[in-house]
Amino acid sequence: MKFHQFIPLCLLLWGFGAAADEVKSVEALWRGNPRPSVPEQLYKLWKDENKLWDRRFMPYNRKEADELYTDPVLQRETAASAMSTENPRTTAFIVLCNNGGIYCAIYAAEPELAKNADPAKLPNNSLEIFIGPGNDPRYPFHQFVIDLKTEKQVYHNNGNKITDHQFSTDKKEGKLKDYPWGPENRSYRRLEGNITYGVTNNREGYLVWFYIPWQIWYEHLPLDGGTDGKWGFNIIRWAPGGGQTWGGNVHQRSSFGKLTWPKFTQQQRDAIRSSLLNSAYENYKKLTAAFRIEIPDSERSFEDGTALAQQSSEAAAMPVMDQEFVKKFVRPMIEERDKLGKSIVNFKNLSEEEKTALYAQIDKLYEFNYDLENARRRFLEDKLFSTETIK
Amino acid sequence: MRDSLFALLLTGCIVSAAAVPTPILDYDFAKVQNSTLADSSGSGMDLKVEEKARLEKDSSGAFLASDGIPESGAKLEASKESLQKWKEKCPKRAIAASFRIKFNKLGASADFGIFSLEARDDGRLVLRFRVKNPGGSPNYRIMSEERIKAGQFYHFAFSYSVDRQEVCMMLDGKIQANNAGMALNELEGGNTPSFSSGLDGAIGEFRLYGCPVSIEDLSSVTISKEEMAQLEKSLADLQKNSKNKHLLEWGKSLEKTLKAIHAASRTPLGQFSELKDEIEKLARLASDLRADKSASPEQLFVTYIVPPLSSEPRLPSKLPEDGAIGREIKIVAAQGEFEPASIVVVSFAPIGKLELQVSDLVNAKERIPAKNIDRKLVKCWYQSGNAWYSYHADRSRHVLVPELLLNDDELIKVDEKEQANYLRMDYPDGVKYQNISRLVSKDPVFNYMLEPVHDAASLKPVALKTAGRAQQFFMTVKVPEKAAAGLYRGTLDLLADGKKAESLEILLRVLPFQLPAPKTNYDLTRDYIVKIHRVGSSISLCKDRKTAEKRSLLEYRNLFEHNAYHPDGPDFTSGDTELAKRDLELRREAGLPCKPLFAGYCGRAWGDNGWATRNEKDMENRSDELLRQGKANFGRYLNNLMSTVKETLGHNDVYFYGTDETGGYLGLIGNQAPFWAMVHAAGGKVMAAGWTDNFKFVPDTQDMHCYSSLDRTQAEYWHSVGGRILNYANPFAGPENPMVFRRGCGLKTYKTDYDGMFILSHYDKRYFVWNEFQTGWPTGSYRGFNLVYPTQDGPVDTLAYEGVREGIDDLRYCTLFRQLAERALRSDNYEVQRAAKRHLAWFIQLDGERSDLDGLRTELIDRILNLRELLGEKQ
Repeated sequence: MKFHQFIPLCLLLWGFGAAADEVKSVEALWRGNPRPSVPEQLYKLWKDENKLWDRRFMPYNRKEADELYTDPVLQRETAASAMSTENPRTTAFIVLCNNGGIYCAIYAAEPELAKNADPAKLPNNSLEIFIGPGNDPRYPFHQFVIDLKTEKQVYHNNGNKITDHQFSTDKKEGKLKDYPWGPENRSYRRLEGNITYGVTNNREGYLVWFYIPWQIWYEHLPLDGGTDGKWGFNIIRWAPGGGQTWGGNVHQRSSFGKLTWPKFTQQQRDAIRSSLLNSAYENYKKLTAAFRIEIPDSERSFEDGTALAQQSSEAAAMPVMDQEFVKKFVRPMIEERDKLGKSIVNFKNLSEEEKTALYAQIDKLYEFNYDLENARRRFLEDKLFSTETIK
Repeated sequence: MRDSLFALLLTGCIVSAAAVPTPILDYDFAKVQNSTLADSSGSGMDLKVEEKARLEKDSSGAFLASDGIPESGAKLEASKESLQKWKEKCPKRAIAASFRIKFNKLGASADFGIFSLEARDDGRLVLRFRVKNPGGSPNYRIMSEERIKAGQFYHFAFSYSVDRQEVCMMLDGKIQANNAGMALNELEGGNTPSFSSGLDGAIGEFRLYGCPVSIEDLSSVTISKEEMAQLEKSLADLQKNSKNKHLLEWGKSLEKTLKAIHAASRTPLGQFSELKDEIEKLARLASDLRADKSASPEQLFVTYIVPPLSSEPRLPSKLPEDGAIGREIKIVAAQGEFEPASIVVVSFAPIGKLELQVSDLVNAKERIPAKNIDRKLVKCWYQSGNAWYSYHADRSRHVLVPELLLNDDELIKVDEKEQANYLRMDYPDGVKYQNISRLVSKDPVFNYMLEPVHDAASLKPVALKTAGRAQQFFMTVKVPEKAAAGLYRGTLDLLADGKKAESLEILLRVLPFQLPAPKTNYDLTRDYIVKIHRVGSSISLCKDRKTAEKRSLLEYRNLFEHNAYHPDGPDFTSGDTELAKRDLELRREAGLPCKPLFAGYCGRAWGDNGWATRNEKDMENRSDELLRQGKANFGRYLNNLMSTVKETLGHNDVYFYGTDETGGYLGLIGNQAPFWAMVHAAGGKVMAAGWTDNFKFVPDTQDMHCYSSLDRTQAEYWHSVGGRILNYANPFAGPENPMVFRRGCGLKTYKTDYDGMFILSHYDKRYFVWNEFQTGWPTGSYRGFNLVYPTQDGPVDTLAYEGVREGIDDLRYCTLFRQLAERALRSDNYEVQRAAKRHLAWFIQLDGERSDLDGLRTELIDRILNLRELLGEKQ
């Protein structure tokens, strides 16, 4: 049994939140309703729940900021000449979560927008965000940057009423870049391809949102609280008013603030787990489609293999044509996993113990590709060691 | 109620503790005998309880109640010897304490000798201790956020650490302050404990530590009935189901500890957390053993066969998630290839000496001698926060990570309580261990050429000092180039305290081919470059050319054997041509291709006489004379370099590095163009690290770009003008995770159509090499850029470095596969052509970022064998 499974009501600890200023903490709020992802909803969130937005940004240490020029991978607008402290910009954010994932909305005031300036002449504005899930210091944090100023995104309207928007969720626009610190593997997934986001603006500032599905961190779910429920979190804004940070310096994980999670009700815990199990099973079914079509060996051809592989894009590189492998390894894997589907459908009727046991197998579904590659390796290794000589 | 709430809160911040710290002072007021309270830690710093002091007890334990006058306290009663010892070990760089305290009134303070605590009128607690702060206040002061009430007990704890740059303070389990990343002064030290000065209240359960202690370890926990029952059940199940006598004994000892912890008035949270981890580990070991049909009730340890390179850090306290108990080690390698294998040994009881002995590997006709199987232990040590995955340092944290491949475990002593590393120096007058995890800014540069750091010549026995300790071993088989293909068998014997305890079979499949040098993905005729920076033993530091040459040769061989074929240098800027020539000869002797050679520098420094300017406006005012001087200086250097290389190596394929990481017209052209032109006129080439500006400004004069991002478009741009592009800073050396390098230097960069990798660096001479916590230039936030660590006998390899080798070996397999497939494509046989197309269709769809690399390697081997068969290739 995992230790955290018998940690009691530890979430109370966060309620005190009385830590000195140096350790900031923000609590994610549960929202069952769909996440605001269009400008009207986003502005409504900013307007209606303004008091809940965290504004505790501090100036980024100038000396530290000046040293960031040494980072060749990420060139930040931190030069002293571009950082006047006379006109600091307000920055605020709110974190929400639902059964699907984590949602964060950020407001970044930019007075230059009101001057109807030439979009190309607007000052650079960007947000650098760090998220370090769980409590293992060896698990890489996620770092990504959202560039607020691109010509395509800059839009001016005539007042508070939004009449038109430039709004993009297409990562190809080049506005969001993630920096995966871990090599991708079955327990670390990069954000690219999983994170969705949007940027809009009115005459006062930018409103930004991003959404990350729990799927990225399905094995680190903060359902049981404990230190696993206090994630490292930081938002840094690089803007003409000076660098601003909510929780410490770039890469300094020990100085990050904390993102804490609500004490999830049983219903919410079930909603998250059920949603993930369903998504994992759907994903798995898609990946295994190629292996489910029965074609007699004698009628198989390479073209069949390609056609089949195309149906499961992730598994495209796998040799679905190798019937010996499929029979010996793949079919038993599929049979075992297909059984999980029945339990997933019946999730709400399971006991908590059964739910926990079922959820513990979710990686078999999400990571089917890795299991498949591993099985393939064992199959080929068996071949290599089955005889004294090979050609 | 208060205590139970406290316990409840504390359980929320459990982390797995690497080792529970031991107090250097431990006063349990229940143990007073004849008015004397002995320090339970055994320091001899005992206390004499004064006549008017009251020893009382409540549900949480015993305490000393005092009226604020000396006669009602407890004073030190220690021998001269103990006092002397105390002065010697008195903590200066870290201090932590934990105790219960009650103030009878507010607006009072108590001096405990080593620190003082004040309860202000407003109820906030102020902790003070004396620090060395020249010119500043000698008192370090920190205040609680919350207010206490008079007459009520509180649990108070703090930790102050210069090396971790952190001070934290806790009151009843709630963090009052946790300041990280602070430059803290050393403690004044020398003070002795006292409980007789001013405390009008009570104190109990006093523990003082001489090392930083996590909040978790300073906290207490009350074990709930349910938890206790679960843990007891787990241990009872073990007694019922396990047959291994050592596991059973270990289980009994854990049971005893559990009971003791449960019975104690105060249970440190870290200790409890560690115990639970141990019980969980024991249960898994018992379960794994049950599944092992060959398990014996007597066996003293278990061996997991694990992937040698993995993203899973193999820590002493953890069982491998990606391995299984086994008795067969399977290795597949090409002729001439180095190929790793690995095991993790987990002891069930302390083992004084664990030895690994390998036999020759034999098949029907041939023999690969045991000396071709290098064995190393994988050493875990403390590195800065972000260790394992990043090259950015977070020096406020010490994280235990596996990294070094050592022969002698004792070369580095790791103190898991203090979270510190000590490096052994074998001086003629004796061995000295130096702390190499201190946060220091002004240590002298570590002279890696002179300091007597020696690893053993071969693997020495390893001690597994406690039950449950996991130790990874790393083996590398060097298959001779002329070894016949076939299946070789041998054994790996494990001896515990001199007795053979386990024998594993080694199965080596030698493939019927050798691997070619790696070529690029986009062009099978172009070499894939592994350029590695800042290499070589410095003669100026050594003052002994013979030693320097010996070490250089060892380092070059080490590079060659790790597929790092293109080290920088030699350095011609010193003007010592003979030295540079000798350096080139040593490279050749080590087998390095030396073509191209990355030896030149053509950046703005040549115009630093005033010609190179800081801004574009000043360009107009530059005098021709300054340029003439700069060109003359550069010309001498350039001609000397080119002629020496031509003379020694017979070619002029030399790259000159321009200004590093610069951009814009001024940086790329204004300050460098004349020198770049001279390089080209002399037949050399120009390279530099930078960003997109390089293609905007100098696509016509820069021959090779080192781009700090992986971007296929940039690759297309540079190739379109006949240029080359290397992957720079993805990653730098620093992360220990070998898969960061296997993938980063290998398939990921290759599949983005880059021409290779620019690695910074082999080891970084700028730092105290072995101490990653040293600050100072270049601070930034970087970790030590080390892929290896220098010793007198050649480099100590690391997991990351093995990742580089395997990453490039992946590409050598890819290259062979592609070469064969291309040949098959040109076959007259239609079916052979079709097969080639199928193979290539598979290959083009490979995801360089995600594909399982061990799986990919096996798949490549299978396909290579298939293509060879189709093409009629023989051994």
